[in-house]
Amino acid sequence: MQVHSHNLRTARAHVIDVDMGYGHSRAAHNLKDLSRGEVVTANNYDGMPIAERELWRKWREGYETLSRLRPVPIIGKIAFQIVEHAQTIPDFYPRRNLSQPTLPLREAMHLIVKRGLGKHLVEALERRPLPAVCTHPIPAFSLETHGYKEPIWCVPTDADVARAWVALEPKNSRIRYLCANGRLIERLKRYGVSDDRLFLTGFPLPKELIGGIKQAVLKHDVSERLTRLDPQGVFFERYGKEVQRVFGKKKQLSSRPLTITYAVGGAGAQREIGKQILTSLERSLRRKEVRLILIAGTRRDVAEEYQRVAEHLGVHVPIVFSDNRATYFKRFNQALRETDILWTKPSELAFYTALGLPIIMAPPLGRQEEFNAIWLSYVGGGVHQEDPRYTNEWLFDWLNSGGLARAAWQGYVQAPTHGTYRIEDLVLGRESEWSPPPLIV
Amino acid sequence: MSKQKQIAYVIDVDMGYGHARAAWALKDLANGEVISANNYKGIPANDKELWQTSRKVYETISRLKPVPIIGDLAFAIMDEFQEIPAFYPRRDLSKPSFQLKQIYRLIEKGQGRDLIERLGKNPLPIVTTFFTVAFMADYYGYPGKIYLVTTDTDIARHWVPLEPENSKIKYFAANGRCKERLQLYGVAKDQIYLTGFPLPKDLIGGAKEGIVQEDMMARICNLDPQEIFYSRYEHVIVSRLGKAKCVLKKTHPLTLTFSVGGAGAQKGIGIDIMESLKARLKAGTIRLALFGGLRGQVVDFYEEHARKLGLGKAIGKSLLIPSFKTRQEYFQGFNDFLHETDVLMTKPSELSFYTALGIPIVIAPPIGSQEKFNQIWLQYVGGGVPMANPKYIDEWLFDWINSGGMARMAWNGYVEAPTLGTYRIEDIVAGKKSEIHALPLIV
Repeated sequence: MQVHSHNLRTARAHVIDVDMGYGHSRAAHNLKDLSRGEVVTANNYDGMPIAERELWRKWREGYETLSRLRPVPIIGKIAFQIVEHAQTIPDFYPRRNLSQPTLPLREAMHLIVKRGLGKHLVEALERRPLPAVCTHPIPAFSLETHGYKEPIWCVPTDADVARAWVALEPKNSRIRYLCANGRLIERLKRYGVSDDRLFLTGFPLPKELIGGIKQAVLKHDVSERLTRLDPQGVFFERYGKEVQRVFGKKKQLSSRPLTITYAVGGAGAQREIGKQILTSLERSLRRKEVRLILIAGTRRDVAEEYQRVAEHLGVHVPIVFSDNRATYFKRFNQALRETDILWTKPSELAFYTALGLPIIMAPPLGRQEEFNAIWLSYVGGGVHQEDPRYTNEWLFDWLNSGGLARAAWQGYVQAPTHGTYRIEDLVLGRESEWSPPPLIV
Repeated sequence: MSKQKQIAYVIDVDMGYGHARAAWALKDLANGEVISANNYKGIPANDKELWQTSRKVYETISRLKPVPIIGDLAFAIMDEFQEIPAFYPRRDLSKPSFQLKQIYRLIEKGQGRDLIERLGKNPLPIVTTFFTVAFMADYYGYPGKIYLVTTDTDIARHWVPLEPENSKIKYFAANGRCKERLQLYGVAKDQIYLTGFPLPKDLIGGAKEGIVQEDMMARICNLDPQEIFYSRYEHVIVSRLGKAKCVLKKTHPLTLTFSVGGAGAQKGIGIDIMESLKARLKAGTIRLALFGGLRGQVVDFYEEHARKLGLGKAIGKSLLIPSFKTRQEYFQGFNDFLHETDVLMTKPSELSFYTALGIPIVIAPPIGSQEKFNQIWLQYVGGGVPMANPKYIDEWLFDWINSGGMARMAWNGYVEAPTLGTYRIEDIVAGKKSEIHALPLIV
């Protein structure tokens, strides 16, 4: 095994995301060491021509408006069906050729080829020619179409993806994919990507929550979390010896109470759930039996709404918010170090179960999230939420059963943890310390 | 427990398999004899008729399930009557349901009086797996003890008498949720024993679970060809089973067993499986067993389709379609075959509990609200996964096997679900202090 530093001192790649939901940005920010901390947002960077900015803005607004309409009766359903259609992922079985381009892909390629979407970005990046790591397909297609010479890597951000992630003519494309899981590899093959351009790495997770090859941070946090998640010792009775073998002796718990973190998605949908959790846990919060962290992301309106509800109930609840994405991600990651249970829709955060976090799943939004939910259930790291209005009952039933400790453990054991390190090694063209994870389809 | 001495009456009903399968596992309590409350020697004609009416309604509606619109509608109405209300928030759910009142109406007309009076002459404890039988015994003042075994992971109000506070029925709860649910229906805490579902002793091997462990290791051998699961869990397995037992040794071909449930409603799934696995069955690289219970028609149906698919020569070799003459033969034959079953595919009926034997369950669609709960429980303990399209089982099942996921479910089922229910129940009925550890309350 070759050991080498992952503290990168100079920019060795461009890391490119888009400002649209959190999934693409979160992955990019976790890879920012490759670019010495800088993430280029393809639809919102300094010096971006107004015409191009306008094109991206309209595209993004359409998506978010439709997503936000979700709770509205009838209209919401129709709006969401439109979004869903654009993101359709066909049934995986039977395995068959799925390389026929879809309408959303053709539309994106029309913008790139005919209207020059991304051309300016390519010109800007060419001033410093480095490998490009894109967490959204459109910048990757733009780079390829407009003749960017350096290697182009693409990081899909869900456990299964639509055809729109692969070029019109996959055989003639040189984009290489860094895949979070085995299903993605198999899926991209159906879309026409050749084997030699597919790399199973695992989703890029924040390095500050792992702590390098020895996993110093991760092991400390998971060990403490497992103890806190198993107040009756049900899980430890079954897995205690193994936990000790992996993490060492049982740690002394810090004084903080059991902590649940509820994260709202980028479009602000499902904010109601946060309010319901807050209301249901009111008494436990007051008694400091439990702590709730509400993640409003970059949504000021959501943060203010949560603040109002907390004040109305007379409880103190930390609310994680920042106007700035980079700051939000940083604060979110800090909050995760003190989180015992992560409650979220099965977005890209589903992969965070690999950090030994049990995930309570809010209803999935969109086909890719439905598959993330299946993947999460399959690895055993997550469980679907019960009625959030009665969180104060079922959450503690699950806790006392040891089930959440088990989910934390399974997530840690089954889901790949070292995606960021593997990706860094591949992009830098060096042998990785970590062998590839098994191909779990 | 000695098979010679009868210490209780074990009573089921001849209606579906859920109640009867549980009773069959407890037959040692009654020296091997299970009484069917709706079909015993000397049952009065009037009694038999009352039972038959309710059975016919259930089976006809179940069979109608695959019929578009009408089937769903009929089933929805039946399901509505049997509906299990949401568990949260915990609240008083003791108000009797319509179905419960109907049950009592028949008992008031004399249903079951004959059986209870006969048994009352030698009032050994009654251990029944069907609520009506317990109500009958309670109603007619049976002098012995009355135990009722719950056969799903969550149950409707009609499992508890009209006035639970005045009843002497004691419950053997299959899981924590059942125990909690019974309390919401008004059963006193001290009337409920959390035992786990009664599983066949010949698949367990005593409190040390020797047979389960041996069968499971052979199963893991077939289910983890890439050793993905084993490489991750080796230390845990060795620590639990001991190094000597922790051997991956192939004892039988990879075997999938499909149990056709719902009064045959899901027999079409069996055809899809056969067709999808055709090449592997011909090559003998997998063994498929289709268990249709006592329904001879199902056996004929499968044999006919197997021949149409060119699988005639595989019958009796890689394709097994066993037929049975009696329920006893069926239960025994099914249990025997489970030793060599690597994956059990079934709707989430009482067979969900069989994951505790270290058997991963591929879940066919649930029929009825209690089966939806069974599915949630099965997934919660990590012992089962909903089936993908059975037409392509040839692909997805092997993807799951090759990724070690099926082996992990076998292990999870064994570790998380209660295996020793039968022994706990035997000890309680015999009035013995049990040496078996108490179950944690997993709600």
